[in-house]
Amino acid sequence: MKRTLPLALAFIFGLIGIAVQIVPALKGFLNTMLDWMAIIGSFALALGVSSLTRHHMTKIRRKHKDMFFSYVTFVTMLFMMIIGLIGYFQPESLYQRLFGNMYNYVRVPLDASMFALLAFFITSAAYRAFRARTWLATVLLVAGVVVMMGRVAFGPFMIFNDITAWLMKVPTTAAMRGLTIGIGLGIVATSIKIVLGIERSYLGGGE
Amino acid sequence: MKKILFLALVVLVSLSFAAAVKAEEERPLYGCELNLYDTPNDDGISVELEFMPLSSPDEVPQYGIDLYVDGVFMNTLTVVNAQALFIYTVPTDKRGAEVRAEVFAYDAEGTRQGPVQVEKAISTAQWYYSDRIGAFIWSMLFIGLIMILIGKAKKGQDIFIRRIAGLEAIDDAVGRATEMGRPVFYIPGTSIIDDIATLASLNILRPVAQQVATYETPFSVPIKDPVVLTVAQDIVKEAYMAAGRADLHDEGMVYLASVGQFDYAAAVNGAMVREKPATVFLLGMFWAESLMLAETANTVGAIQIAGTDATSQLPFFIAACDYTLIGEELYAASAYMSREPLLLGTLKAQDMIKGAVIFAMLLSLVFMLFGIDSVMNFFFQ
Repeated sequence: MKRTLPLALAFIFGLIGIAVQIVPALKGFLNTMLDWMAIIGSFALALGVSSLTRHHMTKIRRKHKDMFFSYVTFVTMLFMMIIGLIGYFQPESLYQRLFGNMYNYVRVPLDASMFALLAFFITSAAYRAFRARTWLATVLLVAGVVVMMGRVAFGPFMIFNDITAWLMKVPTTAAMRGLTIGIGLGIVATSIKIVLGIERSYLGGGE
Repeated sequence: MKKILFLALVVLVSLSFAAAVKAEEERPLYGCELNLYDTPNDDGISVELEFMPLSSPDEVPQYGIDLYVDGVFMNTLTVVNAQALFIYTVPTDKRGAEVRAEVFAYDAEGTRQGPVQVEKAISTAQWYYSDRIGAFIWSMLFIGLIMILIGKAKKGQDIFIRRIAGLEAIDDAVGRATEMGRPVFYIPGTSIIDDIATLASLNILRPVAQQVATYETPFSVPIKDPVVLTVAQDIVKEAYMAAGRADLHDEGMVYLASVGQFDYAAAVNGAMVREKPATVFLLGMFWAESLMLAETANTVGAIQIAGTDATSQLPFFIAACDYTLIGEELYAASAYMSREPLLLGTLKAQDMIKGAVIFAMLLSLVFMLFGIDSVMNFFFQ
């Protein structure tokens, strides 16, 4: 039963999923399914918070060497939860403003800082990728340099702009389309395997 | 001769004048074109309205279109006469509803004239998307092929699959972590459960977890989505049981790191820096965080096996990781690792359909050179 019911549900809803892509008359049902997915997702959020709490509680209980970060997680999570709840029931109050400010002026900049770090990660990855140890790496290096030059080209260097446009439009697009066709077929094949119950590793076991 | 020519000219001018007067008489004072029709490829809850003003903006600066659904007045659309096509979708909220549109013209004084045109249409649901027939045929062909090849594989026919370096390296990567006494990190992407890449990654999680359990290696699976978390927890638990090492299983090894994109990247990067994993799997759907995770793993000296179907992230993985499963290889991993005939059959079908697509593309190309587009439309509509 533990295996059969999920497989049967996957089969039924898989077939419905295919049908809604072919029959416009079922469009309304698709919206209902999407609504239910959102509802199930919100229930799962509670499970997520419970998992996060358990994970950090275990670290604190075992006196893990990095338990300081678990305390930070708990304090910030509880702080935001409490002021968020009070602020929800007391609109226009200090708590609501505090919650908004903590979000806008602490969380958002932290998020942006993480994103900004990407520039350094790209630089270090590019340094390793562009070391011309093989002829393929050399091709990558040359193509990369040409594209970079093309992006900032001016005056007599505008030729790099044209070469960049060609590189992006012809070889890159051709490779990407080849990949996309393969990926599309892979997605269809995996979906069919799941719908027909051939692929069941995602259920936790084969038998 | 001159008199005849003069008479002919007079007749010609008179006829032209008469024709002009007649045309002026026939031209409607408040001209417009209203077209009301059922919305194609929908579930029957709307009709389309197309309206084109024909009078000059000086004569009729504005039109009004009264809409009725099943005889009940709904609303009035105001159309400023810009001599341009006006398109509007009239929602009916139910199938089989009769929509009536009545056009009124507002003259230069603002007086409402009409109705100058009335049209009706009934909203109906369609049984198939007319623009998806090509895709449907391809899908049916693909499913048929899969069924045939699965049948063949069941009979024991040998199916060849090319070597995939990234998957061959999994044994060595887990073995390395065991020898070094450091953990294995498995990151199943940062997408949600209904993303096929996530499901493909979860399919690979089981054999990896089983191997990790067999080698008694520490294991950590940080997750971003709560639904993926519950599925991954089940998979890892069952894998440990299948390996006969249920005693080693710890609920905390699969945990929710964070639900935000960069929060997650920060949490996992922090965990990597502190715990120094020997092996990091980055399999699934990734966005901008892909390179952050891959580069941090590289910094702590981990061997990275990555795989994604996000074409924009693939270059980052190829540049930063030791092994990368490119696009469809991610989907082939489960079959490749299990060597189950049923799963291998689908891989062969994938390759055959790819061949058929290439043939159809070449055929379409040849026909298009002769100006015939119908072949391309048939295959790739």
